[in-house]
Amino acid sequence: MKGSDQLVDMALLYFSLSFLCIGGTIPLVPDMHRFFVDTRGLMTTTEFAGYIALAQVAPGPNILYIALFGYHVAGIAGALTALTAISFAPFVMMVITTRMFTRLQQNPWREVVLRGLAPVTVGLMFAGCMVLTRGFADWRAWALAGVAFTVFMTTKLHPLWMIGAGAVVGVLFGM
Amino acid sequence: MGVLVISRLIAFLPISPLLACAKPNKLLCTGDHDYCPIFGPPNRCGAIETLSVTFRRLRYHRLMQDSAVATPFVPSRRALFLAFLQIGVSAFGGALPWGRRILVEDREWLDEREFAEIVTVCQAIPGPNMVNMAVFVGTRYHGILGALIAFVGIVGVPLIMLLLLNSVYHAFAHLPQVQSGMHGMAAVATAYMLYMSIKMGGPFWKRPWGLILCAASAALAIFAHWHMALVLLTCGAAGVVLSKRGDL
Repeated sequence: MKGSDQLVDMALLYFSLSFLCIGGTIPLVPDMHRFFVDTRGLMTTTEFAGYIALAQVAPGPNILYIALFGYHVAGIAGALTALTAISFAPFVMMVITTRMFTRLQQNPWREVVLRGLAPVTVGLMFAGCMVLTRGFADWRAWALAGVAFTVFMTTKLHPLWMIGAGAVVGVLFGM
Repeated sequence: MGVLVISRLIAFLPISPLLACAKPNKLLCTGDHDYCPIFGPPNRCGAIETLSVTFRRLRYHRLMQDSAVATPFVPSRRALFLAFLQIGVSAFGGALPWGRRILVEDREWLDEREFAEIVTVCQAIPGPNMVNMAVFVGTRYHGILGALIAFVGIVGVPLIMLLLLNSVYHAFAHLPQVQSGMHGMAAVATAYMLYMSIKMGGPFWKRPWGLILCAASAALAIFAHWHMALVLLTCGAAGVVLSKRGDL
């Protein structure tokens, strides 16, 4: 496939996903995984998970891992295309929403819809986590993830420290 | 509104430079965030406004009436850009707490209640919350241009930093240690995602229907390989019906 075709392909994917990313982009991870790893074969699951981890380490809003996927496929142009496409629908909707903020605040359906969508959003995030565990090399990765999860649940430690610790553990144990 | 236009016209009279020299914020503005009838908010005091600024402020007034917010304070475009740049650069692992600290505590552009309300609206709209918040604040103060400024502010510099980090990573990616470190980081990041999804859940954990719906949407995405849109459409519709009936 030519580079420009890939760009259009990716732009279409993200443009369509941009209408769906309610509650952030993490619930979209299964769909992105299918696109980049399963159907197009552009990267491996390990690379895919690695980019998400890299974006967690760096500052900034966490949609930036999407730009990294784009960068992997088509360099800077790919990164900008992916970021623009995923931001398009939220941007337009947000500008419109700002102008009718008060009316939206008073609408009783807002609460109903939010409450109804919450379980689905969380379910899709679970699905994203499960997809990422396919990249785990062996039982040590599972053990590390289990320990990290326990620490997140029980303490208020900043995630950055834990990700750094994860890197150190990975190097020490040669994962 | 009429007074505003007339005061703008007065500002174009030859006398206005004299007024501008006379520290107008001391003479004409009464409070900290007070709206000065001729020279605008305090951050612009001392400058003679151009027509474009006047039009922007008129539009802002209309927007404010819609948003039902009393404070007529407008941060400049540069301040807008810098505030969201600061949020973007300092936001490690979740931007929302930093947004609260910078917008509410440091700059006092929004108050606590307003911030919480905007966050709920941002959650209902697709997109990451903090980026949506940037678009909201940008639009409110400077229209679509302001939204673009805030968006570039929060995304631009972190993007450059991330691409640099990425190229550093790829320069050393062939080393086995770097690969192992990456595996470790990915495992922890996955655990963090799981933790975030549980934290986000809210009150539906205690309702059986909420759990069923959550498990169903996860299973449809993982095992049945349904597309995201299909899952959202079917399970989301079921969720809305259930929550309307009071089961969620």
